[in-house]
Amino acid sequence: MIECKKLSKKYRSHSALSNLNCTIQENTITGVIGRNGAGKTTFMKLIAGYLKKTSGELHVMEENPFTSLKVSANSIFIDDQMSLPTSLNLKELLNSFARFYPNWNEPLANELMTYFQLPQKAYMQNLSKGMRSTFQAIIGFAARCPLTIYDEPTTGMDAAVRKDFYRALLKDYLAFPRTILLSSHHLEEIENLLENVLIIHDQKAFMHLSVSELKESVVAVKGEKAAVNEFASMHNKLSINESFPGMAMAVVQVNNYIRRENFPHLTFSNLTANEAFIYLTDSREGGIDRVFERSELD
Amino acid sequence: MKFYEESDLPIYIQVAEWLENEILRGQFEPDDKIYSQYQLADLFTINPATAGKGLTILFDHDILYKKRGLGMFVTPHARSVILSKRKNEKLTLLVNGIVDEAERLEVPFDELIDMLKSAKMKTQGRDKND
Amino acid sequence: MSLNEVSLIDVVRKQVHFKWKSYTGIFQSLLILQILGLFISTLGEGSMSEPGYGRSISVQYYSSSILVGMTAMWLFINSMLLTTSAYREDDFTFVSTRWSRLLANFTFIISLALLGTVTSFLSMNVLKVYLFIKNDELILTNSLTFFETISSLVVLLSYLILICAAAYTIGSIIQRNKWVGFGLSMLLIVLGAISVDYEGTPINFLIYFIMFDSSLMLLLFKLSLANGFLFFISWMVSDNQEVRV
Repeated sequence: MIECKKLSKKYRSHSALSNLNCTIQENTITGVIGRNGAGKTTFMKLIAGYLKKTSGELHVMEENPFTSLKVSANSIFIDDQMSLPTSLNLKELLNSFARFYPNWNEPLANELMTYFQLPQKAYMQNLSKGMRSTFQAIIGFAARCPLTIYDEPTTGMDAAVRKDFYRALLKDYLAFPRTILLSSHHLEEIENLLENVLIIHDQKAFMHLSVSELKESVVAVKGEKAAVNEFASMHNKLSINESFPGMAMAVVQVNNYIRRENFPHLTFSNLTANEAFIYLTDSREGGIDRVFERSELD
Repeated sequence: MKFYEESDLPIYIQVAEWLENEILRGQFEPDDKIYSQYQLADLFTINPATAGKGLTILFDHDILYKKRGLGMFVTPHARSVILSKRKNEKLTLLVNGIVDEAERLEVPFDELIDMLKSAKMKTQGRDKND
Repeated sequence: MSLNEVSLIDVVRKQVHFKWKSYTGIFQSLLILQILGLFISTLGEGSMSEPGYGRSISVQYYSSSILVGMTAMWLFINSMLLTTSAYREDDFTFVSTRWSRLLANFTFIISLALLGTVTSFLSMNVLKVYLFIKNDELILTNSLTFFETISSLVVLLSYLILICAAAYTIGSIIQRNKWVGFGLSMLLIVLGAISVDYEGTPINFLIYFIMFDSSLMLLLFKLSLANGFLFFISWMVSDNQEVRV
């Protein structure tokens, strides 16, 4: 569905993406994860055909998304900055979408509007942030586009609505499989929904793997400082911390399955996908604690 | 249906274990059709591919078999496979634990074997008296 | 999940339909301008009087030129506004490519010009009826044959389309590069000022060549070419435009 080779997007003042490579399969739910400013939104807008690439190859549905009518008709981009005409109320907006998108499911749209208590005659400008996000989410579901892209769709939603959103996303995906890209700052909330994660870091595709592979690639090790250090040096050490004197905890990236029985003096524990992501992408040694240590030294 | 989110295990393994429990409980008889990955996804609010991974594990262990186009079904010997697998895992863990503990307490291996023998005799005695 | 194939014509049609439904502000302002223009037209354009022995003649002139002028201004402004980012981003929220959007906008502009022409014509007749009711004096109008009426309307329509196309093209250039667009507008204004004062300048010649001709067919042909040229420029300029959203 989506193929990128050495994709780059450079602006006059800075570069947003450079040499990004990835392939996204049809009919999967992929989480696009990255730190603030990593390039997630740029990546998704390039795929949606809003932005033009600077160099490299980008094919969506085997065409150039910037110029392809097929890509525009078969994809939809949902974010909280969606530009919608202010002269139409919610019902009229839904009708507009219905006319453009052949897969539009009208009963679903109406049911969701009722469920989330969105008044059909209201105008976007008069809705709260959360209601606006909910409305935009409804558009994403009802349109049933083969490629549906959500850029932080849950901003402004309270926890209960978020939960409903995830459940609705899954249910509609089961009923009508499609390719979904979902970016969110709440990885811990969505990790069960995702099949794969694409981590964008340093303007590149840092990692692209299944959620379970991500979790299995990182492990936390606790024990005596010496033993922990020895273990950490055998693998890619991501962070190390002296908790009690003589004891240490380290987070380590491992390449293959660790036989924990071989290390009786160490305690292993798994991390959530979100924690794994944070440790893998944090280049600052010692974390935020270091800032306070350094400032205390003065 | 909720998962124990505190659990350390990957979701697909939790799914596999839940299915094993269902089979042991008798919810599924041999040659019954097991839940599809979509049904599992709906049940647990997880991605169907992840649910599929759990099913694949059971397939690899010969607990389920595939019928082309129809789905996955419980093998006739599924129950016994599950029981022996669990037995082996649990028992192995316990045995390793005993050996480690004995080492830590500096108990010589022969004394350990004696302890095992007397434990065995105790249970045998219990059985005899029943 | 199979992909839907869509035809360009289908998408353009949907886009034009969308514009008709959602650009309500444009139509409201047309209504207001027409009413205003009518009102101003009733004030008359000029008068002439000829006193003399035993009799005097005074003539009051009325025309709908003000109305047409205001309509043209409305068309110019709105055609330019169509190129701005709010309208542009609204288009891309739905199904659109740069090419389909250009076609849809030009179709919409042409239909706006048509609307402008028709409403101006009707307003002129409203003016006549009003004056007829209000005044007892003799009323003379330049009576035209049916063919002349139609052909003058067609010419008016073509002029209006030209104005719209020019506005859209200038708007597109401004959107692409603010400085070039600004400079171009300044240039046009200066040239316009010069051509008003001095005859025989090249710009004068160009304008007269395009816009005036004794043969109807030739005139329409020239105007169509001019419109086509502007369409082409708009396409060149807006082809690579990104949408930030």
